[in-house]
Amino acid sequence: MNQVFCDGDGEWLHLMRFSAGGIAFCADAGQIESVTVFDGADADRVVWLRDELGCRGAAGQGAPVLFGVKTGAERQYRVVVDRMEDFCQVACREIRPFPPLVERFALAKGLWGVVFPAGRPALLIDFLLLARKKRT
Amino acid sequence: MELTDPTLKSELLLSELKRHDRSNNIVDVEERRTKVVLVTVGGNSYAFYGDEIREILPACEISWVPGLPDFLPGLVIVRGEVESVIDIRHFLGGDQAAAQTGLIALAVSGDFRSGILIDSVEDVVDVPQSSIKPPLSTLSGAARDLVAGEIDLGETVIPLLDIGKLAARVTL
Repeated sequence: MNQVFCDGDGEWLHLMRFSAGGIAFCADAGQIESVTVFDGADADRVVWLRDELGCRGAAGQGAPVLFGVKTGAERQYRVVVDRMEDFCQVACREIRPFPPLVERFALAKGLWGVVFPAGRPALLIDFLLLARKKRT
Repeated sequence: MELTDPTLKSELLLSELKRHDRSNNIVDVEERRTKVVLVTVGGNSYAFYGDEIREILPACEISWVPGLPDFLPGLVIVRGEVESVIDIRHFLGGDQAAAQTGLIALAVSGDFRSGILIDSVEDVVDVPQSSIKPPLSTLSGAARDLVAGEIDLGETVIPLLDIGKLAARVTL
């Protein structure tokens, strides 16, 4: 089930913060099963997020990181991001949906909202939604 | 010494009646006026209906979002709210050089709401409704689809852009 979970009282969302192609992203930490430095192994079985989304910016400094995303199936969805930042939490009420004009395009890329960890905007990405959109 | 005749009551009344009549005439010819915002986009002048422009935002960072079409350069954050931004030059043509440095006009029409990239605000004026003419057929295709009419400002004629038509175009 493609769903983003807040904690027990429904008020907070626990997020992984990272960047790809010069863009700041956050993803529900509950979707990510493993986090490892990407050493280039099994390169043909991973997806680079910056390529997947068509991000145009530079990767910046830092080592690429491989996320193993829970899919419910036997096989993980393996996504490489340019740089891992930190874990953070945001109040669910602080999540801003995309404006209607943008939303349909953003959802097609697995993006579903904007949050402001550390005072800067970051795009919320749902990896499972991204994988599903890619399949279709 | 010559004596002047005192003003007759009939003269006073007639004068007052004429003044009142003139005043009525003035009211009669006073036209409805429409507030318009004159802007430049891509180096060309355009106008928006004043009641469709909520505010003008200073130059600010536009956050790019993957997957957006060319006419949507991204998002801006306005007092904690996320607003889309349309690069209207995509439809109107004109100089594309200063894509990320202009002002943003926050437009609202019905359910539609979005920022629109503009180069500058030239003026906000009230114009008589009679000065708004149907759009010239010489306008190029894409621009003609967005124009409500043309405003005759005496020395110049400026296309009046219709936010409703823009909304219909970008939400297709």
